[in-house]
Amino acid sequence: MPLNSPCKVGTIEVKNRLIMTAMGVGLGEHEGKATDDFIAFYARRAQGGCGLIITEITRVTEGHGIGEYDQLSLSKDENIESFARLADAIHSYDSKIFVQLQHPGRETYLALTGTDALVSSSPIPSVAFPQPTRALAIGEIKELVSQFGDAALRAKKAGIDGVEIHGAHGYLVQQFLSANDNKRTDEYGGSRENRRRFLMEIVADIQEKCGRDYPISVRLSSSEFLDGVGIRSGITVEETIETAVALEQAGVALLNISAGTYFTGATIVEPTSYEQGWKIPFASEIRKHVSIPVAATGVIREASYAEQLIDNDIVDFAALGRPWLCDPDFGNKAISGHGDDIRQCMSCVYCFDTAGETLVTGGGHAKCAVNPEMGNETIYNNLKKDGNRRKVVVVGAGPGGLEAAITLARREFDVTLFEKNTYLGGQLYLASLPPHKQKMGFFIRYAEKQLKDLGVDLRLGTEADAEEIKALNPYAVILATGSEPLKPGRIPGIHNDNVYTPVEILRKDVVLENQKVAVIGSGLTGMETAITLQTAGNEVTIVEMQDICGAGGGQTVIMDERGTLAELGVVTMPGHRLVEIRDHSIIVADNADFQIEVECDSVVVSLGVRSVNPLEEALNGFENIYVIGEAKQAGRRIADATHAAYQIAYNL
Amino acid sequence: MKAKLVLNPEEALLEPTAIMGDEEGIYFTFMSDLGVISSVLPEPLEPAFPLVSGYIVEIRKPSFGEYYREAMLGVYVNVNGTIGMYPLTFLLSGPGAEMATYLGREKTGLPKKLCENLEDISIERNGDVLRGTVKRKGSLLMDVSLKLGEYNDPGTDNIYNHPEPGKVTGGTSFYFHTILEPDETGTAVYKKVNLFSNEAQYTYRSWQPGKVSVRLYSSENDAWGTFPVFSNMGGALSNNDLEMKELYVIANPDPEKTMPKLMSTRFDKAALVKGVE
Repeated sequence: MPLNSPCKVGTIEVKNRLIMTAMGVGLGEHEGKATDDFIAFYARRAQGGCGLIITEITRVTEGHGIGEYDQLSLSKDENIESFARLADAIHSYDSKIFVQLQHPGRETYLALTGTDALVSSSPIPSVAFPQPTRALAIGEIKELVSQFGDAALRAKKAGIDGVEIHGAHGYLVQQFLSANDNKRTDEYGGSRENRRRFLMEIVADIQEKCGRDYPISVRLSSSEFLDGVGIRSGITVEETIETAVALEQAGVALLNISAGTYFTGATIVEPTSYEQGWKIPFASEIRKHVSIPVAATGVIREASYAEQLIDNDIVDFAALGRPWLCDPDFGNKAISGHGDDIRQCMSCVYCFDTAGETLVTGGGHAKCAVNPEMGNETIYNNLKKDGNRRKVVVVGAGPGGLEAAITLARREFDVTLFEKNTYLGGQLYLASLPPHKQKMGFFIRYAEKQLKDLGVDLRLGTEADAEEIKALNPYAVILATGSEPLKPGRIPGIHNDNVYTPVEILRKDVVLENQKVAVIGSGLTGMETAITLQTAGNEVTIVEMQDICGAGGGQTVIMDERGTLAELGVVTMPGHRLVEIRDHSIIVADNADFQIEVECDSVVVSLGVRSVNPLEEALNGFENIYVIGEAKQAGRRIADATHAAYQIAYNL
Repeated sequence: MKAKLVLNPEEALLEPTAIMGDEEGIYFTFMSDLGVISSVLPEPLEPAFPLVSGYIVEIRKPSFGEYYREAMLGVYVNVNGTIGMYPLTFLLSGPGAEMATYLGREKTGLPKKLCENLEDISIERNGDVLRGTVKRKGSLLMDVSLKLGEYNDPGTDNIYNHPEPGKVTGGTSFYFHTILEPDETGTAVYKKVNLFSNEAQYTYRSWQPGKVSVRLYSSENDAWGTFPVFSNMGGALSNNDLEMKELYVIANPDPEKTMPKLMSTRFDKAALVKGVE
């Protein structure tokens, strides 16, 4: 069965086998209406070939039901009109749309709910964000059930094709389903049947209010994976099969199978170390026990893999989340056989991190590290092809330089791209080298093909100088010359022969084996360098001046890295600053200024970078010179470079 | 009055209350790894948070003997919905350490070992800065500094239940009490394990928060360096009385599954089967 074969979901037909799963992107507004930005964002994915779009979490009640500041809401009739505009926009591309109805339970913030306590099945606080939590009274449960039904009816009135009940990822419905969370002794707790009563009553209430033919999808976590952290009462695949069968018998039209709970958060939004398709076998197993369509999520990154899932009858729908942020045309490219043109999601989790930054305060939205258009669909909606083959020089083929070169070439500028190294990607290339980080190279692979297809004059291994650039007589020059590792000169011994940089280690310019190595700095680069070194047989100690290993990074990625450090036995010393480097040791000082000697043969200094921008001054006098990324300011992330590059290239 | 070999039945009872009076020293908490914590927990303990807490204290007025010093490392666990502390390992030194160890191990199942010298467990203070160290058999196992002022992470006060002078707080701890008996071949084996829950009451005289830096190490006999320190959460210089209250048997886990996770905190390598690495 090909990807573009239609599939029935209850009474409706979805045109192909690609689903966009729910993800909070923060493009709504506080009252819960679908804004123009929000509609444009989803419509772009429909235009790009998505068969069924499932919106992000939509609340059914105010107060304790609020999960995000700028969240969608179907708790009131006045929001119906904006949802109708959303439905119309999606339908104009022959795609379908479901609204995901959700209650966060204890996985929200008192700052959002404005209540004295969060609610759950039992008075057990969140592990991730512990706050006062109380058990819902039976009367409140009944009221909530009815509010789910009312919200579904509003969706139906808006012309939305169906609703999805969020029964996964540790939110309220799962807090009832999971014996680890649900310690009730009434009819909503205890046996499996009792624990799923809340969910089944929601289904029944929606059916009563919307009719049994109104399609309902239920998102379930196949497993909470709690056994992996020593907890035995979590949901297992075997239990989810029982839930799935009950839901089918109740008339549910679609099962959308994910996994995980807040305790095992990385299994919900997987960082880059997770393999493609790792969750699919769980969904596939559940599918064997039901006859309704089953959608599966789980790091589906390649079109060929999505195709294989459908073609081999493993699942009915390939459900993708972040890949649609990364490339809104995933569907059209996959279906037309141009999968190698897809800008693949690297699982860097930048979208999740940026969404989280304004989750409580509002005012911002999720961003994709390598797709600057994402979330800006109302701004970047008309890439002009007016370059008229004018010459543009881009110096540096890191993420920013690559993005600039591609976008300018699409605008039909004549682009020459200089890169002093013999490889593309700059720091992104280095980021793809540590164990289990190969997905970070996806953007480089994509860019390489685009550069070739677009005819960019790529000069690898060529360090551009001002005279050479001037000789090309460019209309514009974009300087994306990046950064170089910092070695603070104030530290005695910093220039010793046994002191290296992460670049030297990751690129294997220097190979250390069977040594005691101190890595100074526990940013992402420091952690990955430590993992690389420990994996190569060294005994590594990370020294971090701040009190937290991995401060400042995205928490999902940092937690994943910490797990790997623990597994490998890397020693970590947060709250210690480097004082001196000696031949066979380092001296560090702790928070109370006690000095400690740490034995080591080599030292890798991962204390940040400084800008490299040798050409700006030499090119003084040129009209259109732009400096982007780390060449402009050190310590930036991938998105800073790509977004600045795109903005310049779009407007040039 | 000199000791008698034979006691009256009324005398042959352990004092029901155990109070660690005038206990003073460094308390600390750090964030570690849930996977590592999970790996050391016998059933039915389940990890509650990725946190490790510990202390280095001097117990000046114990109700059961002379003063002694004690260091502990423990993790937060969930047992059937009750969250409490699971102290993994204790080291003791000083004149009262022997009796505290016997009582702790026999009565409550506390995993206690003795250090040779009083100074193996030490706390030094210089103004607002303290440093606590724990050594055993010449190996440094724990080295914690505390700079009085504020916690490293303000959320740490929640972990300790907002202590302040005069405040009385309670908490649950879990211990494994093990029973060694000969089998039919005459070999001593663990035939029964009791999981105890124990309520304890802290009465604070002082609690001075501070920033900690935690360093843990393992030796041949003591695996105190098991838990990675990913974040120093905070600590305090505390003076309090600790009263061990009710003790209940709440489970009898399988000794075969349980003992591999208990032995190294109770015995040194020399006492264990040779030739097994």
